[in-house]
Amino acid sequence: MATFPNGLPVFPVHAKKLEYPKSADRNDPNREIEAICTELGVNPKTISAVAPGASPTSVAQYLDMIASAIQTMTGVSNWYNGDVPMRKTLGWNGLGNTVAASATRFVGFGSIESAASRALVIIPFKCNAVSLYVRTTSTQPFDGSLTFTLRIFTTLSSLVVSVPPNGVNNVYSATDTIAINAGDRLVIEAKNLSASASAGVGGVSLQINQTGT
Amino acid sequence: MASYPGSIPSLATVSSANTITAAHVNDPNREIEAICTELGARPSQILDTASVSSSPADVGKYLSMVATILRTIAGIPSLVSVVSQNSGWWRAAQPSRFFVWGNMQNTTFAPGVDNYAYPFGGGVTTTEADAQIVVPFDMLLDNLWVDMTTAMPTGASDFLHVAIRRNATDLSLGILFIPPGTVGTFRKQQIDFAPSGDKLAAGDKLALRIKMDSGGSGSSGQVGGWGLEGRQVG
Repeated sequence: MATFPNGLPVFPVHAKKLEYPKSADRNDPNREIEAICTELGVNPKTISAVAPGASPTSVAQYLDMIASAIQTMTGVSNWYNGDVPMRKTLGWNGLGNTVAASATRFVGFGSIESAASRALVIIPFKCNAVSLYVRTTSTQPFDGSLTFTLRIFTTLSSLVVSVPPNGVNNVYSATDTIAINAGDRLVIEAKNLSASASAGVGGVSLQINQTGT
Repeated sequence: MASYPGSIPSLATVSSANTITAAHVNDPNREIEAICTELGARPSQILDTASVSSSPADVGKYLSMVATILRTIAGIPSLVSVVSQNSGWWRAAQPSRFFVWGNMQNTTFAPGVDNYAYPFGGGVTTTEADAQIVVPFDMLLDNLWVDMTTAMPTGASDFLHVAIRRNATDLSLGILFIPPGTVGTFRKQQIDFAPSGDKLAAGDKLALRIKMDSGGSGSSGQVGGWGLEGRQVG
């Protein structure tokens, strides 16, 4: 009867020439080896997702359950593709309204706003802003671009989407990693460099990745 | 040739009458080697920058891959890249968070009048049903933030009450009081420390009520953006 896994085995240490190994000295380690292997389960490093349960039959099955949990948490088809962050979406919508000629405005909630305070949101936890998408609803005039910049209160970030002169109604995007702290006020600044009204501004979405506490 | 890890070994049982053969010594040794090979060297030493692949070389490598995945999911820096109090895979033990947000678009609030902020939108309404959203899964709430864009009046009773409501009832620990004479961002924490009955369940109606104290000397300062943290619970 093996001691493991309910206890940790302790084998006798034989003194040189003083004790001759008995059958128990051979059998006891054998039983412990069998018990270790049973507790580990077969092929524990070979991972395949198994539905988690309260009582894994072996360490190997528990490792498979972890893989399954990772798969479910991240929504991937294979556990080893689960090395991805928890993502959130933040959004605004200009409802097709335009930015006045040579003006700087802010994308609001169904509007284009003159005051940032009417369009900003407060982020309640630490995170990274990593990608910005803008949908325009008409063509930008030929004589200047339209830029959308993620602003942290009054500070412009390096996450900027640019709609070029003559840019047709389409989806424009940019990626960067901008650290956001809990309580930061985010707003999307829209700057029209054309002497005419800008392209219409539709939905604007921002990908947020959770980072720590 | 060891049985493990392909199958569980069944090793000999010898009696005092048996002669100990070479196999009696060699077979257990091969199994011990196979166990150690499958576990890998120092499996308890976790490296949270392991390259993740479909076929870990050993259990130890797999445990490091899991640590790496947990760290990435939660957005925690590795100990290798950033040595700080916020780095290390074990700090990934935190809830999945999301947010509800909106902007009251610099509205001022008259004393004693209930208003409700539009979630995921701009402005406020005096009709709660118009500003309720239905919670799609169980959640706990924490960290309500509100941006006062101009200062509150300075009378002794000039408090602005901002309350998180579940099914048209204020959460007992979900009320933020913005005091007289103040401006800037305000935060209410530990909403999830409320009694268990305050947890929001799937199907509950969530709203944000704003009210200037009925004893106030006049309207509140202007209120702009707001945000609320939700935490997934099962």
